[in-house]
Amino acid sequence: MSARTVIPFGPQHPVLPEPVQLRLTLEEERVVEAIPAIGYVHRGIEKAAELNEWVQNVFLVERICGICSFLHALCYCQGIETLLGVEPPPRARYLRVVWGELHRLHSHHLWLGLLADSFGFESLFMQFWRNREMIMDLLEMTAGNRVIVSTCTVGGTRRDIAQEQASEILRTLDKVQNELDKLLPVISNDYTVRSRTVGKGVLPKDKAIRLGAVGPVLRASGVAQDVRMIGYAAYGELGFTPVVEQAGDAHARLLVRMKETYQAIDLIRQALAHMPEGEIITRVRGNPRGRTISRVEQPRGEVVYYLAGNGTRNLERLRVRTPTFANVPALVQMLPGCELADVPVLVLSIDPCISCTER
Amino acid sequence: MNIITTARVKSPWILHFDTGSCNGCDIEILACLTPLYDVERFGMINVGNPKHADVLLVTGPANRRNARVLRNLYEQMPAPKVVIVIGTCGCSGGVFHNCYNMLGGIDKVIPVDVYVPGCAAKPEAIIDGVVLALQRLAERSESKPALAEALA
Amino acid sequence: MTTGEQPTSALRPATIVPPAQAPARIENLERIPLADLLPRVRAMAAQGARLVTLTCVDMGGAFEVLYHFDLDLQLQHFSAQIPAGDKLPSITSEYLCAFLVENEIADLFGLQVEGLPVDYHNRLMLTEDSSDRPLLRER
Repeated sequence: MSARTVIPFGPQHPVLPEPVQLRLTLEEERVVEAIPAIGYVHRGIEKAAELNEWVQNVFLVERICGICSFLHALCYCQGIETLLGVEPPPRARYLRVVWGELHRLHSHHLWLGLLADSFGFESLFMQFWRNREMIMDLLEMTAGNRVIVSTCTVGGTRRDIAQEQASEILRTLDKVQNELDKLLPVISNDYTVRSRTVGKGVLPKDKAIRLGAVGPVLRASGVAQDVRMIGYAAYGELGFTPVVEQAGDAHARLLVRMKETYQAIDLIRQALAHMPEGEIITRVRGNPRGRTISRVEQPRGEVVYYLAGNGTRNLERLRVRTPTFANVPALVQMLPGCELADVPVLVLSIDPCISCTER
Repeated sequence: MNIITTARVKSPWILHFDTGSCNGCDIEILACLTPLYDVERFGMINVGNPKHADVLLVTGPANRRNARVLRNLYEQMPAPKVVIVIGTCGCSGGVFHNCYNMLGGIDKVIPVDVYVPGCAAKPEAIIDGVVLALQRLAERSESKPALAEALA
Repeated sequence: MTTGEQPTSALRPATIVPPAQAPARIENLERIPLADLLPRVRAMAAQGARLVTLTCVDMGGAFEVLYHFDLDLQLQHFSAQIPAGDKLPSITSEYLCAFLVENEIADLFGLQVEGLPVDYHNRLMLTEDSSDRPLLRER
């Protein structure tokens, strides 16, 4: 047996915007074991959510993750609405789809760029981030802030999208799609992209389910599961099929996310076309009672909220299971057998969001 | 300004560390480096090595585990150096003020020169903050004790 | 177009809905004795269900641990109660992915878990100087 080396990968590492550590045991260049060490950004949000009032928590859960903040707020608000027995107005449900899909679009652009950066394809990284700014402008135009849009609230949304804003969104989406069309052949066929991703970190279907993988990681292993299929917000009324790939390797995960950008553009167009007129918020009274589970599909996968209320202004318990937390076991199983130089690509292939994971 | 100071201020190298932010400010820092805002045209380069860095960008409030890592990174940076905190939560604790694993603002752990509030701080504000910090870096670079420390 | 202009319909008077009569309940929730836990989890694994997560709730003197499973987007939950001081059996023999969440429960609630393949010894999320068992309810 050759000598073993233990390499701490992180917590501060150029490829990771966020601190996480993987303790990699290597034999020569090959990884034989990976143990995650987390807790570098653990804040204690679940406890803070019990100390705050349930209305204030909307702003707290948005800051569990700045990349998918709207979808955290959506999941929380849907849970509270169930506890209160309130239905948001139809227009609010469509508005939620628009902002939710804009978030997915910018998040996938962000990730596609970061993955390109992780294997040294600098110009592709810059291209995706250049295009992403168009989507950020849409978020700023409709919500007034680029990252944390804070438009979702209990009972509906806090802002409306006016007619001329909707046409501006449609115009910009045409441009985004035009740019994506140029990049799709690079993602699918380029030699550099393929040589760094095809056949790397293969996760078979049965293993993916058994390891609790969610989102694009699960769908890239051939499982057609997307929480949007249960039809929350207005998804039940919009035409929608989950994107599935069969190969289960890093390239399949790349393709799933690339195709989901097109899907997001399509869903925004549909939602804007079918958006009913009317109010955007149902004002609510009373305090949440009982308990419920709320699920939403984030760019990284399924997020699960457990909410329990006792009729007071404070929640009894708020539990958040974020997609990266579910995908870490899959990552730990993917790494053994790969070479050290492929570790950054595989870590990024699950689209890790550490601030989500540790809350 | 002497030639070393000029060189330093015209091409500051940046180290970024996240101490528990929500990621919002981190992606805005990355947005600064990409084509629309493109701070690299001012000679700013994002480096992964603290020993190469002049400017430390910190996002998020310090938590108990990474305070040690943050202090370690700060001490490894050569003088003169400046620290910029990005985002409201790094300035004061912000929305995370009542979380049990948080120490509060970054200034509870290391000295801070520039505070950039905002949730999330916009790229324009971040670039503004870096420019302010460069003035501080120039002053520090000219002052004798800092020079002595740098040469020691 | 100006940035962040406030459309008018947000300012319309809104309807007020009375609070729900009965407290909301989780569907497909089954209370099971702790002794049945592993056989039931094994049965779920045999059906090809995905383990969504575990949720621990402090009930004061006892803990309620909820096991959430997903089978083709249908949720199934098991609820087991465990007195404080007792050890929770790990389900990692069936679902290896539970090691993270079981460690987290041990960390935040001080509920000991038996049979963990990777034991972080209550230091997954917390550090030596963190507050101990922060998610316990103050009594």
